[in-house]
Amino acid sequence: MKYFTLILLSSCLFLIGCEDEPKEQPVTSLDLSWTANYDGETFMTFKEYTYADGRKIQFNNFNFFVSDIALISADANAARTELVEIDYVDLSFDETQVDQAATGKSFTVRDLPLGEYAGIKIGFGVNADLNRSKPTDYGTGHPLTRNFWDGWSSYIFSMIEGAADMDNDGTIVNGGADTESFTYHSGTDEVYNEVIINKNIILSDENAPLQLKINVAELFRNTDPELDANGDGYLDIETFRGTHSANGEMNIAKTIMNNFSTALTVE
Amino acid sequence: MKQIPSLQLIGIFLAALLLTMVACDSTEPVDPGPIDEPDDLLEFTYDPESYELEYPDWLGQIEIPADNPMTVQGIELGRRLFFDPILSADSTMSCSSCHNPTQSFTDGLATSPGVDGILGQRSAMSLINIAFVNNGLNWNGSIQTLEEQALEPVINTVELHETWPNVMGKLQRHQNYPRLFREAFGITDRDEMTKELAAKAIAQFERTLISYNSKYDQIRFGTGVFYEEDEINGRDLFFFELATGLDHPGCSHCHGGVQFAEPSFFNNGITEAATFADFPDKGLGEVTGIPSDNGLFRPPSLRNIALTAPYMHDGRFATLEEVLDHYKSGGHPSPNVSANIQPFTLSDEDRDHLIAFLKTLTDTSFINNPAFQNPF
Ligand code: HEC
Ligand code: HEC
Repeated sequence: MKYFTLILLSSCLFLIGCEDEPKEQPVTSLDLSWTANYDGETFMTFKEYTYADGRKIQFNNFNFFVSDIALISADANAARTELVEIDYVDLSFDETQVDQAATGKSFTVRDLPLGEYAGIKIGFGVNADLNRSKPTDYGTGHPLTRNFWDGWSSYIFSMIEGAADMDNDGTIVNGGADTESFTYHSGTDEVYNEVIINKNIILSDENAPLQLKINVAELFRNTDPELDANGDGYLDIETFRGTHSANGEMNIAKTIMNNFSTALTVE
Repeated sequence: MKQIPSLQLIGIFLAALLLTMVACDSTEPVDPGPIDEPDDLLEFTYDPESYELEYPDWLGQIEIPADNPMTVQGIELGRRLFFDPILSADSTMSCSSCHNPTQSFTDGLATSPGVDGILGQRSAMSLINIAFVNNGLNWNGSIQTLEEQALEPVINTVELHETWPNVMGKLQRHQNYPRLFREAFGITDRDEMTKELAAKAIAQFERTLISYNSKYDQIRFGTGVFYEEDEINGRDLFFFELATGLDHPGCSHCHGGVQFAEPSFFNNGITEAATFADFPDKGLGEVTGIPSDNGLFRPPSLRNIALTAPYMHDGRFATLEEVLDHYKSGGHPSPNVSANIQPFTLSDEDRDHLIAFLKTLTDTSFINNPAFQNPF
């Protein structure tokens, strides 16, 4: 009997508590959709493009991590509404996957407050907190179960892999003793790049997807004369065929990660 | 609807029983139907003891399906089924014929003959730490769960070449299995013994096949054990990019992490192919239907790798020396060979050191674990 009174009492309290609750704010959902292009052309793996210096280039892998994506409110306090803590974006689709390449990788964020926002913040890479973790900390399907780099205790923030006509003979050799492949693996806290794009975004009941477009060609831009023999403003991929973010190759990793700022357009 | 009087029902039942008995006399294997009384297993107690897998956090996470919780009785039944040739058409082979504990659950063959002596297309895989694999089983990730996988070898014509109705018939008539199925799953009647339950039991046993006691584990996570100098150099060659540019082994790109296997699929350059259509074994492409996935395979864990020769999905390399000579050469050209497969400099001494490191992944306590041995 004693318990019964107690239960009755607490449920009364509960009901009263509910009455006092402020009215629920209206919420909505938003799709973020990542796609890649090569100077405007839909980006596809195993397809030939022309590199800045005129040689043929093809990609077989392009992926990156993004952290702490947030909308920045339009009012004076510029409050941030977090959309995504961490995600892995793999945009490696071949020419038989035209539809996927065009739609890219998208995810839906729910329960966002309606309202006006002044911009979006995106961290390219894995933020320093999460970059202390490792794949075994997570269960199946979590973005951080892959692309960890034991040697540097860091996730590989972005991977750009492929091959190019390094010897300018008109063909690309992939694999074997004469392979013309390249691998750009950028990682470690030092190259994490937080980008803020100013853009008026109004969230209402129904929202068109927010298009996040990466121009892969732009990721190779470079102003360091040491990395650019012909001075065309792009990385000299013939001489610098890779980076593993170590041993004096850190500058390449940093350049690529920084380039995400200008390679990104938000529509 | 017309009611069937209960007497008539008994009559039908008796007739069916008679027919079954007659049928059982013939050599044609048939589903035995109800063998005796309904609920014929109630005499045995069902008192399952739940089983907690023990492994350190740093080894990763095992996800146990909600509908197949581990029990001592389930694991024991699974172990018996795994080692019992009753699963094969002519009672000559069991799972363990190709997955033998002494060879870290492989068979030492490039590709394995089934009961009819016909060679399969691929090499038997080690089942070490199989519970940690979460990107698809088999060389090409064609099957998602151990429960689904366990159904396959029985009916595979180049493996056990049996039928499940036959196997279940044999198990239902067996003097021990009906009791073991009851103890593991609480069924009350032999008729409730199904291939799905058999597969669940096998999967439970397979999830216990955990290794974390190699020299590597003891050094990295234990105390008091140290590498020899050659092993340290080997470890650094495996994990670190010591040289600038692309001139390094780069093994950990694809065999990284404590399982020594990145959860992904790669073409590691063992097969020359002019176009995506030219791979003799389509690998991942067979599963996804995407041409550029042809020739991609799952990098297997390198734990106990010194015990599982020959190597690769078709067993083409007899020794670890041959494996390293392959990687060092840059392999063969094909349109989608991973860009991380590049020729690199490796002195004979460094090659030996890399192999010395790979040998630190050997865990003999795993292959000798009494719980993993043939119970018969
Ligand atoms: C004739 C030899 C043979 C027999 C018998 C056999 N297997 Fe296998 N097993 C293989 C081969 C070959 C593969 C790789 C198959 C592939 O990639 O298509 C394999 C793969 C597996 C895998 C996946 C391993 C991984 O790392 O993904 C599991 C699990 C497995 N077998 C369990 C069993 C069980 C359980 C049985 C008995 C019911 C069994 N096998 C019987 C040859 C055999
Ligand atoms: C680009 C990714 C990649 C790299 C880099 C790589 N491997 Fe592999 N490895 C694989 C794949 C994929 C397989 C399975 C290939 C197959 O059978 O078709 C494999 C198979 C193996 C096997 C055979 C496993 C077995 O059970 O048969 C060994 C041993 C091995 N690799 C060792 C190494 C070593 C040592 C290095 C560094 C020199 C290395 N790998 C570099 C992807 C890679």
